Amino acid sequence: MRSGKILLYQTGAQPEAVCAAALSAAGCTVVKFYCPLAAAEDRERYFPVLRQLLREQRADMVFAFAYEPALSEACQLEGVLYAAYCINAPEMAVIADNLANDCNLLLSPDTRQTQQLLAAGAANAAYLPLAPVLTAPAQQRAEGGPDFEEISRMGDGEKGQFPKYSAISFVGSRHTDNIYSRFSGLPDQLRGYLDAATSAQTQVYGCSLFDAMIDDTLLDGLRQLLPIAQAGQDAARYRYLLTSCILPTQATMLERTRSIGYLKQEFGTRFVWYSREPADAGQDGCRGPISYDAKLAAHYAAPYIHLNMTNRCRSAGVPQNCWDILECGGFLLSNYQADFAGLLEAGRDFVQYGSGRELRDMAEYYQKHPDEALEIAAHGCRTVRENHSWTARAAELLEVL
Amino acid sequence: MKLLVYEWNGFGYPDLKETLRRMGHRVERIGYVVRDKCQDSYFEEKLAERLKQGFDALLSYNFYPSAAQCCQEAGIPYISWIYDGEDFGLYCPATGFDTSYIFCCDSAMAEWLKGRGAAHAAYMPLGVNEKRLAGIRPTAAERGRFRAEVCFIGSLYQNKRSADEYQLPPYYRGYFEGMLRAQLQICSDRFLDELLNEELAKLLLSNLTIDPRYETTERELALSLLLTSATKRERFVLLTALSERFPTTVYTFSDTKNISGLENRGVIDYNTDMPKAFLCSKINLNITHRMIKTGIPLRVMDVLGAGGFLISNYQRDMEGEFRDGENIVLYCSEEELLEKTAFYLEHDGERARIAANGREYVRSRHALSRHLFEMLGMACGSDAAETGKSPV
Repeated sequence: MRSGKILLYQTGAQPEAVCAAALSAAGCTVVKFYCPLAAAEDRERYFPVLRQLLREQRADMVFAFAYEPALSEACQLEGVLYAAYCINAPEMAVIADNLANDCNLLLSPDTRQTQQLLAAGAANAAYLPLAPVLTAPAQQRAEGGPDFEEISRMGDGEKGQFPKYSAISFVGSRHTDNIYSRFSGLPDQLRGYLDAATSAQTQVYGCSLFDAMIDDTLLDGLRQLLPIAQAGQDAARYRYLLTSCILPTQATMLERTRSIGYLKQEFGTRFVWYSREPADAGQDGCRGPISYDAKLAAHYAAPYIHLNMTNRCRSAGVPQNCWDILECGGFLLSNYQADFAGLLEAGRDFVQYGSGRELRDMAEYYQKHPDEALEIAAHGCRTVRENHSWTARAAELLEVL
Repeated sequence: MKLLVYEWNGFGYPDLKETLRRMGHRVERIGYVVRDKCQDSYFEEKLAERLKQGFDALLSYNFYPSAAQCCQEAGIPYISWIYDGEDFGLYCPATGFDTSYIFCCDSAMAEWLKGRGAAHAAYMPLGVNEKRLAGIRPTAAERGRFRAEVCFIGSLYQNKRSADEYQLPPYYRGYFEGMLRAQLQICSDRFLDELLNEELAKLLLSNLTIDPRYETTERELALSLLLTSATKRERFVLLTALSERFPTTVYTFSDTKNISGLENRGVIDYNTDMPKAFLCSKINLNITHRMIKTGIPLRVMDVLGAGGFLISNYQRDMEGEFRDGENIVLYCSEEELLEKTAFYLEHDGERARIAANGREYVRSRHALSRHLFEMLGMACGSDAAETGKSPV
């Protein structure tokens, strides 16, 4: 599909506007629409309206940054292609009833999740990495990019900034109030086993331990003890929710709590942490939320060591913040994710760690070698701007279609 | 040089002595099995007496604090080459003596020792007697006797004290099982250390009394129990999985009746028969004891030096030494082990190529003489390491 008419279902996802602009620039006619479909009564009310819209618009495709089962159903009935870009982590599309509708094209920014979608019955699924949404502050853009020369000249305490790359920043929440933490009624032995599993996962990158550790017998026991509404009676759905959503979120909480505690202890006031989770406020120096706009872009452009600790629900993919940090000229220190390979070069565009010890060693190293950090940040920024824009992704998407 | 070798009942001493002699050194031995690893007065007395005869250095596999004490008093280097993943002698203060030169086949262990004040601790991979191995040629009858599809030589550690024996409260029983189950998924790295918490360590040691002469912690001892449990579990699981799919042979004194498909041929002589078994097996298997955190275990060198084809779990110290698919085959998970075993059983040419590369690499890069030259040079001075010369 080289061009055509795309009905964009608005979900408020961060990449929506910039992706729509890229599709328009590629020659597509993009018509945005929205109708509430989350609640059962909304679906009942708006489903006929939706079908009417599809008939009237005669679009080539409906596109959304989410999988909405009702959208799929409407498209299936009206014979319209539905491209759903499943960017959430965890992603509930995997347990959708009508995933196998042949109007569906599921896109995922995570190669492992793409395989999960296919295994769950999706007729068509394809991998499509994310791309930056935030852009460097306007001044930097006007001048052709982050002023790396300026950054390299920043000295001690100048303009109230930390010396370049002497501070480390993390933007994200700990997920302390997660489903696992609210599990009650588990026998002690089972609780101990699952606690060990989630702790172990924090030590391992690049693969999930949970599937192999939750055998069918254990799964059946858990289904009796802790029913999950979204799974219903379906064991495969329960397994997915437990091993790809609930337990990974707990592992994320453990890992971030441990790392944040260490960073606060080692870096003190030079640890800069933003989180929108109320439970994080005031903990370990958390500064509260930061809005996803120019303010965050300016923060990412600052010469900090910008840390990414991927939510474990995203098992392989490169998360959004990595793209944003690099586009804004930030120096990225990220945990290992399999999908970095082929997109970005570790050691040249960014640096990655594969253990807690490596995180500590690298943070210490780049504090002491700010010029190297600057060089890597500059290279990463160039790589992303040259190869990984939404213009490029739009072209890839149209190619897939 | 005039060297004294302290020989206990471990592997490798004939090769060690023969190689030193071939290098031109005068080699004598003192043989004794210590009763108390930390201190054995009888042994110290005999060794001290012997050292008065004038030696340039004492050598042993593994570390014996009594030997280190005697060498410290005599002012001569004690060269110990650690090939076991667990050596309680390393918890004694004697590791910090000026005369104690400790070479570890595990780089993580060498770093740990340095951190404890062992100034002369260093990483040194193990070696093979390339001359002896080059002469190993199984007869037709031996080829029949030692023929195997998949072969594992080693202990299953059923009788070794481990954490499985202990009664634990339900939460910690579950946690313990979870730790082991998690670790079993990952054959290429060890993270049990990070998962062991203080409460579990205390529980595991609640029935033991720590000998105060060993400068160790509850956590280190608990970890030792845990790692033995992990090894037991891992070897059982992997050998069971293999024997369900492929004809699998083991040479071990361990009881293997719980693994029904396994053919157990009992113990095998290390020097004369083991290399032949390696040569006559299509696939040899190494499952590293979890106490060896990063190092290349002796079994790897044994198999490759003999010319056998080896599939081994990945160990970090293999980086830069061995290349997967070139001179060794590596696995990082049970699934990968099974896949590669199936593949290589069907590809004779590939096995032969990789085995030949492995043999050539180990016999040259890891010849005993090469490593001994280096160790003697570090302990006694570079001039002294050469044939016939004594240190200043």
